[in-house]
Amino acid sequence: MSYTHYQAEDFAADEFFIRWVKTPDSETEAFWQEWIQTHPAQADTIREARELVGLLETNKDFPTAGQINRMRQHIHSRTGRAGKVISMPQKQADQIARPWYQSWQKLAAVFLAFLSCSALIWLGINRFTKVAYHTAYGQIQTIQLPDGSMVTLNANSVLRYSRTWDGTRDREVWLEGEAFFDVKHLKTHNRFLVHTQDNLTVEVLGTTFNVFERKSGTRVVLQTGKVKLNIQQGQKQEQVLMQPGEQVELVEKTGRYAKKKVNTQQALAWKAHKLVFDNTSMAEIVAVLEENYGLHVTIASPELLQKKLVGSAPTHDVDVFLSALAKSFNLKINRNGKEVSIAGP
Amino acid sequence: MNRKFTAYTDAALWQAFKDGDEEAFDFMFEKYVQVLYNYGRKFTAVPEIIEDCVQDLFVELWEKKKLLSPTDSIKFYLFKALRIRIIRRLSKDHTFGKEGIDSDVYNFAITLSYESKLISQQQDTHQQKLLTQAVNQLSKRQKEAIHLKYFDNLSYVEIAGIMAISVDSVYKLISGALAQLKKHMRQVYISLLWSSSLIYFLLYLS
Repeated sequence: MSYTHYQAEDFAADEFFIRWVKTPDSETEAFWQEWIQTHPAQADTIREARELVGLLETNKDFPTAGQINRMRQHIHSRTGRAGKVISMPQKQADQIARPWYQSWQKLAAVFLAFLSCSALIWLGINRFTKVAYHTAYGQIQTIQLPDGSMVTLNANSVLRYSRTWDGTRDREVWLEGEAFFDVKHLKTHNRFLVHTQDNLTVEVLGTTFNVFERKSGTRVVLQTGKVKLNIQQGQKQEQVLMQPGEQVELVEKTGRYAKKKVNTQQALAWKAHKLVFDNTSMAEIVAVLEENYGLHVTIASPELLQKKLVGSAPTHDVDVFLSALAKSFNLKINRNGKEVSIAGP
Repeated sequence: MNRKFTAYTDAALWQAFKDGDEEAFDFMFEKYVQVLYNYGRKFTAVPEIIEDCVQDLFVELWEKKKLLSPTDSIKFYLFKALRIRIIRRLSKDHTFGKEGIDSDVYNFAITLSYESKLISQQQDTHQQKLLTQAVNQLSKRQKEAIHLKYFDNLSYVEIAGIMAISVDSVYKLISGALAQLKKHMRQVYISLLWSSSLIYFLLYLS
């Protein structure tokens, strides 16, 4: 679909756009981020359209737990099943029983906060906003933070931080994807926090480490210094201290984790546009191709995914990477646009 | 809620209910009662009317389950059926209601809010008034289409079916409403610009 001549209200009425604003996923995120990058003149229109969609949150008049019970019992007795009343889980009932005006007041306050914030953005006073860096598929970017810390952002990743870094508070950044951090220790000993979308926060004073948080997994590799991980496990938080050379990997979304020694050179090779395979499975390489280059990979036989590879390949150009991979490991690799097929010898 | 049905498609769940599965029927009620009631309450401020309509709807569904046609969108089916029921009920209650059955007996009242992660203590009733004005200027059909689209995430085709109008009309209702709201949103910004520059001016004076 061509969006070139769309006004803010046209975007805000578009189902694919609404999906991106309300329930962003990798498909909508990839499409719209690329669209914004290729149409920089439309940035204001997109922002206004997002605000419109945000504005259209209509008020909730949910029934109370008592009302639901009453309706349920009426239905049960009128359909001749009065004896089998199923009660609702208490927790859910509590949530619904919250007085209507409480959430209304909260929403009103939140709404006013939104208006004042958007106005400030609109005025160009970006005090409340975050600075965001997006890397495209296949692109690596090095960013210097206001405190002098350096961040190398891997492909298809987003780094955000607040503009108000004045040295009196914690330094906080938000990461989606993968990045290497070289954090400067400040005389004021301010903490440096990396938040991920997962249930993980990395807390440091001054050190170098790598954070990876994508669909295929979440892991932190510490090169030098010391970091503390705060892992959210349901209601409680677990803290894990890491030593240099260690990797902590989260086990799915459960909050459990596995700690092991790793070769940090291998884990950080992406910074030098290189991928080092050290008994790396084909499945891991496929994840890199999909997550860092936005490719869709099909594998001829499932056994191939288990194949372990040793060696290295350059990653600055995806075609060079694929042909190096094919040559070194004797694979048949075909690429057609975003589709890549890999077959054994 | 019965976990067994969460993996079912709408078509399969509906068929199970039509075959007389009580658990499937209960699951449908638990799953949709909140959004149905929420939608219904926009038509009237009287909670009892909506409670009645929702429970009557489910009782009738159960009684006529064998006769119902298959559907692959239960939410759409329930919204459409509830809407017909509410409008019929409101026109019956409307004592002078000889002239218009669909048009004048019901209203559709919404307020807009914005859920943002940033919470501030700042309150300004003027901006709130501007937004309320903007919403009040929308027609009830525009408000209803907005609610179905942005709160209930229904598709244009489904909204057209529920409101018994063409898909094209739904597009027109929504884009018209958005254009109006955009205009008002800009006014709100200007009013905020004024109030914030006033604050800076006062700060400057002090």
